[in-house]
Amino acid sequence: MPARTFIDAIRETLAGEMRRDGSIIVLGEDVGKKGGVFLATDGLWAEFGDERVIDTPLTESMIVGTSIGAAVNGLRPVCEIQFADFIFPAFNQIVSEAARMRYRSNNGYGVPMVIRAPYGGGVHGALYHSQSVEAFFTHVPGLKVVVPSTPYDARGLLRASIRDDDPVLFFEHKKMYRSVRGDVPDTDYIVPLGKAAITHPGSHITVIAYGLMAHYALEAADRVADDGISVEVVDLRTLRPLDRETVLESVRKTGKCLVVYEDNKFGGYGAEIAAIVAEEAFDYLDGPVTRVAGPDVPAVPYNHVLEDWFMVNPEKIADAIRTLAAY
Amino acid sequence: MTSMGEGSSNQGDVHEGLNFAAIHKLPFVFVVENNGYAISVPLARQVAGSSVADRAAGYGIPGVTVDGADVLACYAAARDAVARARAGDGPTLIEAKVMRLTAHSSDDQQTKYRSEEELAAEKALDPLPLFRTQLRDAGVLTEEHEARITADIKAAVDQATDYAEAQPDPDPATALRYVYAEDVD
Repeated sequence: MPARTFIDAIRETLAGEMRRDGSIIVLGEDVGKKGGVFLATDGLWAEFGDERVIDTPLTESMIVGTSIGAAVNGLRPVCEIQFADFIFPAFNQIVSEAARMRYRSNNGYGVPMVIRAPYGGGVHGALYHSQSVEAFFTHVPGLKVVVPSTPYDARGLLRASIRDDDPVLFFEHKKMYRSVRGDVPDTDYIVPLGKAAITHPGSHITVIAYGLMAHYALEAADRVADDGISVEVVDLRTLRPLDRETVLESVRKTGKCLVVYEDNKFGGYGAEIAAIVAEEAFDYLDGPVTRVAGPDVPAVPYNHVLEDWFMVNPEKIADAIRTLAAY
Repeated sequence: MTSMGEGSSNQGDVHEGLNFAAIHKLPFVFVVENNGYAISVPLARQVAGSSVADRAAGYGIPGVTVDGADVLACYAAARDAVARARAGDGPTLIEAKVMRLTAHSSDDQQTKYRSEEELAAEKALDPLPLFRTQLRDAGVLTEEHEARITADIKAAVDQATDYAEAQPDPDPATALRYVYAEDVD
């Protein structure tokens, strides 16, 4: 199987899907000739032309609003928000229109649309190119939210997202674009939405993570193995719909649950995981459901010392694992 | 064809949409019904320069102002804009100047912010009686014809409202459906 970087998997999957289905269009800022600021759409304009690969003005609300209109009228738009930090001008379109269309029309109209956006810190991107925004959208029924962590999953989940009949937010950690490699088969496989993966089986403690944090959780699991702690890592892959069964089954087995997310701790996505585990696996818990997450400041700072202070890393996760394991 | 009031025309999304539609010469007619008020806020406090149609110049598209009480003038403006759109020449912005005969909603007391004189003056410009007179004068509409149309419309509206009111309320057990697509209906 050929090894691919994370961004290769994204780009090749977009091209492959566009060849398969003529109704797929790509639109966003700089996605055309330039191929995107991260080159996620490089080559698409040359192959598919102006009609299917559309450079837009700096107008996130219009990018999403136009995509909604195109989707309702039979196309399958895959729009790019250049950085997840820039998604907020489109928030109204996503939450008030895309998420509600099927419900308010009693299944008369759907919005088969994917919104791709690079998220996350640790790349010296400062306050406007580093944020994690998933919690704003996982809160909203009608939306699906996907955060892949490997090239294999990126391909399989992006295919599933594009072929899905509802709006999907597809968040790609920008630090993984070129630093993460992995085998990607050439077959037309799908990774279904709503299925988590146990990426490291263990018996003493369950660590639940996604995106870049799924990698850091694996590193932390290796570090604490020397201390005799057996960690089970669950990579959620899809945040909504959530794979409750895999999460609860693992926690019922280990009796301890650590949730890891890069976003601010207060009200973050991991808070929902903690609540579900507390509600539905209380009798099995042998310690407090614990979170490792970003500090509650309004953005990832620019200064490198402060950025390191902000970012969750394998050592912070390993420390939390040791504390919870000793409980 | 999209329509909105001059109040919503101030939203930032309108600029984003018109800009994109004009760039790509989309077959699009943008109709703004300007009744002079966004609930209670008068035109002078919401539209700089007082004309929505003038904003079209910023997108390089025609901005047409039309008397919204003149049915045939509205028809002519719309016909030209649709022809332009169909010919691939791009969008047109039509601003129809209309009056607001009633309050914004059943909870809105418009005499709180509009004078009696203004309301009386606008009532004289109600397009429905004006158009009836126009059609009568042209010999197009007879008394008999008008009575028949009025009865037909009343019957259609009564039938629709009777039908809607006779329907049972939905069962809350169905309220969780269609948040997402269902594989099997």
